[in-house]
Amino acid sequence: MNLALGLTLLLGFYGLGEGLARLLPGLPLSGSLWGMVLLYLALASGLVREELVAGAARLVLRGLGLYFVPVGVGALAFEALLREQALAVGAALLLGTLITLAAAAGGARWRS
Amino acid sequence: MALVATVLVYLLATRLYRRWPGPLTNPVGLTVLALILLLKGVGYPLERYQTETWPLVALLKPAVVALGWVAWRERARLAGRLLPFGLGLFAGSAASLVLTPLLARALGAGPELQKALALKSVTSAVTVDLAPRLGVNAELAVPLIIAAGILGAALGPWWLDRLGVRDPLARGTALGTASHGIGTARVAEEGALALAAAGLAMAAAGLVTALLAPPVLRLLGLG
Repeated sequence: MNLALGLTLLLGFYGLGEGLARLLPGLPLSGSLWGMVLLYLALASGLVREELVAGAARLVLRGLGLYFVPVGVGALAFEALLREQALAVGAALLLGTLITLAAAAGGARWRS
Repeated sequence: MALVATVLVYLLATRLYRRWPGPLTNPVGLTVLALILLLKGVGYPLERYQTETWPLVALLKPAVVALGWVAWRERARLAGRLLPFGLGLFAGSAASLVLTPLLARALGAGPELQKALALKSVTSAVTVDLAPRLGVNAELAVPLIIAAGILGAALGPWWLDRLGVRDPLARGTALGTASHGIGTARVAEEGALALAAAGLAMAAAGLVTALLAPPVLRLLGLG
């Protein structure tokens, strides 16, 4: 019962988010990102109690890794491009990741 | 058929991961790799594979909404440390968004790859919906994001040690921002505060990047 209600709420917030994304096409947020923001705000304001969504959220997040596998497999369509630029892509990923880690850690250690 | 195969390969990869946990046995990376080899091996058309597996991708939408719950829960655990967390999240997301495409450009990669690499620090689930709005190809971006997650989770703890970063909040923020879900899984062994920071960073990095991306991509001539 609670699970069904939670899932309905998640889908409801997604629907609201999709509506907002259409209403505000100037902002770059997608419907699901808006849904995420709205759920966060609803929880933070006490509009939605955590018990209502926690079970459903845990359930849909359990398979998160599986859900984007088909998108990742789509890389097959870019095989030639990725092979040709493998070195540039690999180096940019490696250096970019090290820089991102350093920047985020540096920012989080900043003291006023 | 394709859907059943995908789920089976994923379950198998999850079992492998449980036996040998670590970034290199990440079930998502292994599953994508195995399925690419499988499709090529049997000559299964990619389009047909994707038509048959769309229900999985559709589940991403409520899952991204559920990240709002993760963010809310983890935020409560970061009480009093929100300012440094936010600064780290912003610095990491901005550095990734600006510098990764520039690095790729300097190394000779074309604009399509530069744009895909700009989303390196956005979790894959968010990217699927977000990329088209930014003129980025999600199918090019997602495998690169998975690779970035694996790289960051594999090298991140060593790299942060070398930089002398010991504060669990800073370590969690860095790994969550740079390596999304895979980095967050890695940070679990570093304690509750690091894990909370990583989980919140994973959800919020997509939001920060989404808001910064349009002007940044335009400035880089990729908009």
